[in-house]
Amino acid sequence: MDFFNVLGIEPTKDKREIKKAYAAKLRIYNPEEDAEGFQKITEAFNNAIRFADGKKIITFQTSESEKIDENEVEDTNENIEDPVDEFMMNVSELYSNFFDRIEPANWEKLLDSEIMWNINVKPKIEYRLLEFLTQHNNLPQEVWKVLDKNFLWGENRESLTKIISVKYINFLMYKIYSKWSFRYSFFKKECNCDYDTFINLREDAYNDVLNNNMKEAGEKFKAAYDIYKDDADLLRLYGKYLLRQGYVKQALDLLSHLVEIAPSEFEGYNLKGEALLSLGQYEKAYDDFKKSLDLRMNNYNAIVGIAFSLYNLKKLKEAAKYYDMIVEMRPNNIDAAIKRRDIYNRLYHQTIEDISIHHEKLEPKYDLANVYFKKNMFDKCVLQITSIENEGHMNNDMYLLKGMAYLKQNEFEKGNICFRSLINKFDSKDDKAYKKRGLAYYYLKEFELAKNDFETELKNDEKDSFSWSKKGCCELKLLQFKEAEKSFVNAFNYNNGLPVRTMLYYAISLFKNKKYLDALYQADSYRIYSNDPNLFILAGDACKALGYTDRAVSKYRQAGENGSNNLWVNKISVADFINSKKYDDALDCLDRMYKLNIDKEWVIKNILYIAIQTKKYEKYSEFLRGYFEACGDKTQDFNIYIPFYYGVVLYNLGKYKLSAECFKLSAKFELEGESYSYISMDYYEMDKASNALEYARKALEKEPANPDFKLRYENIMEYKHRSIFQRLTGKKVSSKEWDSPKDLKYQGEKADEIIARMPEFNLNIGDVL
Amino acid sequence: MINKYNPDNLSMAQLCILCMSSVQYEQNEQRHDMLYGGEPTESFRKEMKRCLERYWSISSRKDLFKELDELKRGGMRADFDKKRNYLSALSEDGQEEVLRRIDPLGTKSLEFKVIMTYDSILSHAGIAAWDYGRYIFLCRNGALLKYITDDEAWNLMLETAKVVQRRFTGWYEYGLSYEVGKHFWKMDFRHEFIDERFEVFRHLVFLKDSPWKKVPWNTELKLE
Repeated sequence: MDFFNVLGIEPTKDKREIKKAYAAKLRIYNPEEDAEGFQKITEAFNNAIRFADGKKIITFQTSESEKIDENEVEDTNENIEDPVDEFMMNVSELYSNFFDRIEPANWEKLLDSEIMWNINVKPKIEYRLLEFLTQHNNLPQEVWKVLDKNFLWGENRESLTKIISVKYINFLMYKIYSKWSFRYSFFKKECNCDYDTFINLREDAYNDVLNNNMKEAGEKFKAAYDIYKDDADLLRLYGKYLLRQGYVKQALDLLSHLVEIAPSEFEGYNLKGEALLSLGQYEKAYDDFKKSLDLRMNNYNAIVGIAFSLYNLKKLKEAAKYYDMIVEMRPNNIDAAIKRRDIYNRLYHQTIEDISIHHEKLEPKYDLANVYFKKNMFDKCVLQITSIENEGHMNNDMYLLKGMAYLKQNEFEKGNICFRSLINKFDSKDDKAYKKRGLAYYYLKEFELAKNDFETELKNDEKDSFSWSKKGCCELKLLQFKEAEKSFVNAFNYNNGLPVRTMLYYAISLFKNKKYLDALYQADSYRIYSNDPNLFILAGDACKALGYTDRAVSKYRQAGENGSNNLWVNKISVADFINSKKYDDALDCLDRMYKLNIDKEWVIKNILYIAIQTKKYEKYSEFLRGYFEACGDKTQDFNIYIPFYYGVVLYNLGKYKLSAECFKLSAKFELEGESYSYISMDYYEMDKASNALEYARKALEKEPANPDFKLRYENIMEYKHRSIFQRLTGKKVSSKEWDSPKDLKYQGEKADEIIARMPEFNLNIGDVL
Repeated sequence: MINKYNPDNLSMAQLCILCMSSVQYEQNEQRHDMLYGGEPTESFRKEMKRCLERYWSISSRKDLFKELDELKRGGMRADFDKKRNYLSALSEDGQEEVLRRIDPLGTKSLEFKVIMTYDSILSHAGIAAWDYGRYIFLCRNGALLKYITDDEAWNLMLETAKVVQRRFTGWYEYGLSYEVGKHFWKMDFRHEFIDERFEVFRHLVFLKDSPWKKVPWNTELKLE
């Protein structure tokens, strides 16, 4: 019973003593530092427990002396009674052999045993296995998937929380479902090295890089590399690490080895090419990037590498092709844009020279047309291609180029004809002809046809974010909002430089699909990049739909501040500004509305109101006079508040006669009391005391309890009863000094009232797209 | 308005130091051959004072040094490097997968996209030029606003310029690092933004009177 020696105790059946001894040994043998020692004490512990239970003793040692000692087993049949222990022994045995353990078939075989069909026992096995895996988890993902297939951990995530911690569940899910995991396929049986330590170091270094602990990562990468040098995952990670840290030569060594052991993986060539570029070895770099591109079409880093290599090798025409691709894939790449500009400038001079030497050749002529296009000289491009066409040499590239030049000049029909010719004559799918024709159809407002073309294009290249985005726009125009939303999601997934306005289109599709919160969120995200007023309108609409009226007001107001022409938005903005006494802001809005000829009457009414509130009568009087003169006889059709407010302005400007006329007009409608009272003050100022008193009385008759009317009436009465002498010698107090008028009550609608009667959606898709 | 090149007779080393903030000065249409970027008129001072207050919250010597210290210690390059390192741990497919999992319009996604666009062409200095360039910009304006003396400004800039020379190999690499930094900071993918940046950078790279064409990158940095 050597296992008791390992545990450092006398043979015993006291489980507590065995566990205590095992715990003491665990402090000495850390699985990460001494995997072998740890395995030895764990085996000893398991056997001691089995001994205590009177079961069969199993040893993993190879020496004959330590194999099963049947004499020491009291009852070997006990193993049938405790199948869980038996099973776990098999698990432990399988795990102890590295190359057996990483083979999924071995786990499948183990889990295929009859015991797994015993529903009473299976939960116990599951628990014990989960416990075992906390310490023994250096397994490839394929094995984790086998385990999951048998225990359905992924499906039963909820119920797992009853037996293990959430952290452990997350760990399991990561092991089972992670899209990327370390591979075990590069390990070799003939290489006698400590794979467990290697795997732990590899994983730790990887986590260190993820967590930006670069120094620690470097040490662990090195330690792992010292143990085993032929693991592609480590070579990629360590090579990239060295490259990013500036140890280019060392990186190149590792990456060269990487492409040797994993020649079918494109990424190794990209990294190796990158190292070569840093060392100025452009020819070699080009070869590696080309291999990468052959292995994975359209891979961005390979295209960047090829372009950069060719640029440095001065192969400008070829480099131009790749820089065009980069600019299309990532329009935000300023390096590519600059180099492309440089190349086309140089090619322009070169091509002109070529044509002057070889004027009969077709190629330089086409090259020149191409250069014209790239230099945004679209009219010259069309002329150049037309001259080639006249010679009867058109090919698909030429049709495409001519069509694109037409599109750039907004000649959509002509562009469309070129693309149609191209598709009909050559039926070519690789040259983006459908995408370009779709664009022409789109601008010609043939949305159904445009959509079909973008869909065809997407069948060729599903990652084309531009086509997804334009397809989404067509769908918005065709009121196919669900499809539009999907298209925009795809556009963003593949996006590397879509016009930022696409975010607004996406938000519109969300709104139309009644995903108001999402629409609001997207509109708010878009705000980082743009002050487009439509975005605020959409956000306002979303808030309104969600019942957040105050937020909706704020959003609409921001739309107003950013120059929206929308009637409702401007009205809300004005009402809200007036309510918060931000009269200058309100006037900015009103001024814009007036210039845009939006509901002028409403505008004038509010300008008048602000003039009164701010007492800046002079400032607006000229403007108002112009307005009223322009209206001529139509003044009787005014909103009733216009003559009233205008009367107040004129009264304050001392133009009492005109003021009284305005009030007589407003008195015909609802504002009789206020109008009469003002007329009384106009007459009072004009020293027509009788008329003044008559109107003061009329006002009081309308509203006997109004304290202003009463005060005015009493003051006029007092003035009327002065003697002529008193009137001539006494001081006449201006009616403006009487304790009125107070702030005018805002007679327009409030922002929330306007919101209540607004349409649900306030953008005109036709205008926005 | 002084039209003559280098009216203050700055040494080549001083001109070289100023060139390290030339992207900002080109963008602001200011001079590359004068410490302050132009004649220190009252209106110019006011404009730059407003700029420093509004965009940097700098209105005193103390604020200035706080900001300079921040740029020196880590600036934005620390955040960039952290995220670049994170992505470097992932395979290219893994990076695409991460992008698919996160909100395509969220900050993280936009930052990752900037990094992934430039990762293979940026040197290991990353976007350090974005911090260094702004450091020199602040020193120049600190001197203009008299938060620091001219001598202080030159000495502070010299130290940084020496680091810049060590970490980059030429004006183009330095300028690109600055532009990527700006893009990373702004997270702006609008065509308008790209075009605007392109124009500024194009001037510095191609135009004959570009300061980068007048001052060699490897100018010996020594103040007299």
